[in-house]
Amino acid sequence: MPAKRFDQARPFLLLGVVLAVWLFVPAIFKRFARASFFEFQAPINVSASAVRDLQEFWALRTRSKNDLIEAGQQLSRLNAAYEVALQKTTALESEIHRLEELLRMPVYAEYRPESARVSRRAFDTWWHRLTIRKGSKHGIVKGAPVIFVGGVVGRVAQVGLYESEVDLISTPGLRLAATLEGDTRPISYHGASKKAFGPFGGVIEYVPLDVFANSVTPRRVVTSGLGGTYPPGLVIGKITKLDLDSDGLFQRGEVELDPRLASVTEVTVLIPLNKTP
Amino acid sequence: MSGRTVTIVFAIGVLFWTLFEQLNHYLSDWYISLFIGGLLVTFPALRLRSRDSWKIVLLLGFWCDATAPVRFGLHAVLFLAAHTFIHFFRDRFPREETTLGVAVALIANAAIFLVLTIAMIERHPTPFAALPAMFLDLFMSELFIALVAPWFFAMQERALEIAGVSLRREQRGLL
Repeated sequence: MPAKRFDQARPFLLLGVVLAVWLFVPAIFKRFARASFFEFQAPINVSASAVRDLQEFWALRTRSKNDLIEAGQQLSRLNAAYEVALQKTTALESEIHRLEELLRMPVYAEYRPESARVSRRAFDTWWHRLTIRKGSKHGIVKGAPVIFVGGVVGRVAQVGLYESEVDLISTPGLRLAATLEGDTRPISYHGASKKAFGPFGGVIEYVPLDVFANSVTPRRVVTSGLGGTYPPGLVIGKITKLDLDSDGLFQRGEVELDPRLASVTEVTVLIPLNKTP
Repeated sequence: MSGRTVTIVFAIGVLFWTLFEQLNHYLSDWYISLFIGGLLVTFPALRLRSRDSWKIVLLLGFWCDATAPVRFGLHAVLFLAAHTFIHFFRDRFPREETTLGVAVALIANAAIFLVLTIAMIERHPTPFAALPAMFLDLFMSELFIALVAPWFFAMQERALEIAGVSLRREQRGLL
């Protein structure tokens, strides 16, 4: 009988031992174990993503030639517009450099853009993450800002050799320094809890009292450049609601993020040039 | 035999987790996310010997932990806790029955989901605002588990049979 009793208690004893080991094992072992499991998963994720791309490829193959010709024409129009914009940007950048040198102003951090395909989106109840198909082998570093056509996506949270995890700006608790478009006063942005059936949102705090915005006349929130992670002027979202904060000194409001974030497939990681190995 | 059982059930768990992640990827367009932690734990805890099942559950927990922004090992410990309780009570019920397996998977999944929510709620700036989305995710997850659990259990059992591992020794009343 005592042997049976011990046999029944053994799973609980095991649970206790595992719990104790988990609590007291040094962090370096946990980091090593996490990295090992992460690297094991990378080929599986990349393969699944490649299969999805292949499906898309074969689906596109069924489109008619007329559709392709039309898409080609649209692309050439876009390319022409981008070419003009590129020339303007080059001229403006050289002007900025000239003025910075003339006025001895501090130079903004420079970034190298690295495009990456999204292999997995996981908008869990507790966190919102993307997995991208580029890692430390491509120069991705932890904390690097990630953007897409609609503005800021988030920042790199975990880097593997061939894959990286990106925390979305909608992740609850993720904070960044922001400002209103056309304004220089800093405000604080952080991700808000997920709403049932979306869309993603955020919360802004420390908004000056003279700022007015609502769903009819929204105002855009952009990165301020403070803190050094994100370059200034990147679009975060738009304010749809502002209320007086409990202290009465500032306003607090809701930010609506770009709905395209939910289906993003291609992002750009801004790799700080001074951190590149 | 023991190593083979662990490898097969773990590999099927990983395969199912990969398919499930693809489903979550597509569901992200509708801002819905599913959680199936309880389903991964149920079959090993109900049907396998303790000396094999705890290893499977722990490995699957670490697999889930690898990409999650939580302290590494949180899923593993929660899965093991769920496994321990299921294993303790399993002899009092007809554990070979699929219906019971589905019920246990639903209860275990809801329990792990709620514990994870409690552990992560401090990150939410407005916790009460998150409740509708949480309940929606939980409801959808439970619905998904109720639909796929019989197939998942059958797949694990059949894979073990093909590999020459018999579960007859684990059945109640035979030995």
